[in-house]
Amino acid sequence: MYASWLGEVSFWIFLGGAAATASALALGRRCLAIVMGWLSLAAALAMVGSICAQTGRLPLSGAFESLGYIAFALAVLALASQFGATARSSLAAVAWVAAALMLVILIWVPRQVNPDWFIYQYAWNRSFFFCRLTAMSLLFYSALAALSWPGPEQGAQARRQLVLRSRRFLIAGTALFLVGEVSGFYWCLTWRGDYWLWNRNFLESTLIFLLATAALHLPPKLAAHPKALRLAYSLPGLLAVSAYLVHQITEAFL
Amino acid sequence: MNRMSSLTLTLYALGAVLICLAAGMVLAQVKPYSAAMPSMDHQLILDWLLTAFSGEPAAAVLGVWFLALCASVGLLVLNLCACTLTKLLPRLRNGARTHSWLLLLAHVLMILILLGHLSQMTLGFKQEGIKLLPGQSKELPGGISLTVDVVDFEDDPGLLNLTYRQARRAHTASAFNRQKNLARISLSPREGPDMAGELRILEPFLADGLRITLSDFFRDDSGAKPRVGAVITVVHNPLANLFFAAYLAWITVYLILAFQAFIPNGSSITNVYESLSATWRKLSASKAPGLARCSELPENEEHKI
Repeated sequence: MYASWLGEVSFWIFLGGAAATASALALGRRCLAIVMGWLSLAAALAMVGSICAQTGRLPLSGAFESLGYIAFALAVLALASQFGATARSSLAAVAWVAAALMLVILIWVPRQVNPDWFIYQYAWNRSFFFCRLTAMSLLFYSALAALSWPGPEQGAQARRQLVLRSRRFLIAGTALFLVGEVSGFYWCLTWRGDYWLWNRNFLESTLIFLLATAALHLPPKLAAHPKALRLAYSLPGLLAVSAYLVHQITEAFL
Repeated sequence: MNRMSSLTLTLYALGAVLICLAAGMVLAQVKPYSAAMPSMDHQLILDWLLTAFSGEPAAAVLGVWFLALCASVGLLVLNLCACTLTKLLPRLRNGARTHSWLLLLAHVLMILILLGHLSQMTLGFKQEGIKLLPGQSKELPGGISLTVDVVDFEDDPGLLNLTYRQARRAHTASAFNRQKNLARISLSPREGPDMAGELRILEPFLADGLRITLSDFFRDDSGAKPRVGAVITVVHNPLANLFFAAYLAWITVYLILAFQAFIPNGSSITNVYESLSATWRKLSASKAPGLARCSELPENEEHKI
């Protein structure tokens, strides 16, 4: 009861805080953005903590759990983008906006944890869902970094840093995505008797992985072209999140 | 051989696979193909393919789609092998670094994983969705007889015969006891002693190379009193362990490469960026927009992890 109440309150603080942090960054108020950023992150932590308290496990599936967790992960990455020698306000602002948009969807979707499916107690199932959510957050952040890098005339240093950041998170997201995939394969093997099934979910996962692979194997002629590189680095994250949103929203309303 | 190992071919092959996967996702959502696609899981894919073109038109369309997917994956494998032989192996001779070894290993393991997938589709046998009530038997390839002796289902049978989505909501940990609900089976090979075991959901029975899995229970309402039966999948895939071993090794290598990517100074990722920005400067200096002067670039330059 208390956990559910805490989740509801922290959700609204997180949503307001994320929007305020993005606005502060857009207006160039960096100190305010840092204060609001920490406040939002604390609210995000409370929201994820309330999900864990209600379910007795990490957030795994269902709109509230998964979108809430992705928003939390984006908040961590957004706040990290505000600090250090490679701090990028533009990227931080975009990441805070993305986190806020994830939460905006939850205004219309029931904000309740998923029914406690007995298979959630299986470690490989938990690993699959949790790695998938974290990987999607990293891939989405990589896409945001790619979309927020400036043109060559606007600062080579900024561009260089964002290209590197996008690439690093693309690789890390793909690696974690694969950990989720092998967990899912093993879960499927023990549950359905085979590690591969011919359905939309399996094809979609392979497609996301191969898009990331294609981005990491661009021929030099193509990779030297900023627009092509931007498209290649942003597609895996954008597709992964869009496909997941379609799954979650249709499941919540149908 | 150089063309076969080029990154341009990699991109074309990946593009072809991506198009096939996207087409497959559409087919999986659109009737009548969506209704026909689950039959690809009911048996070994090779057995399914042999009958796909003699059945319904939807199955034939899926057969064409599957062959196109296989052809594009085949092209990718050829490219992968050629790249491994002509680019990654020679790199080891010129002062090998850990990074080069890891890249080579990642590509070799990828080939093994794809071989594992091929074995899953062509070797051994598979029978999915075998519905057996207590006392019923099923003859398996190799002259083995599978019998369900007892089904112990202690929860409400009203929870059975639901769709996947309904079951995810109804089969909560409190309503569905995974440990107590079980099926006792026995296997009678043509030669050798009989074997018996217990099946629970997520706890398959392994015997003599066979993997027998209880994927669900079902309720039979045909008699005066409802009875509960077991939905079983039997698979014999001699290379499943190889697939998982290769996959785990591949992921380990990938995680190490991901870790390397975050090392700030002197990492290969920085070198890639330097190479790209030099190329971009060259293109910009030529005053020719886009890729007009790209022919000046070295043919074998790689844009890699």
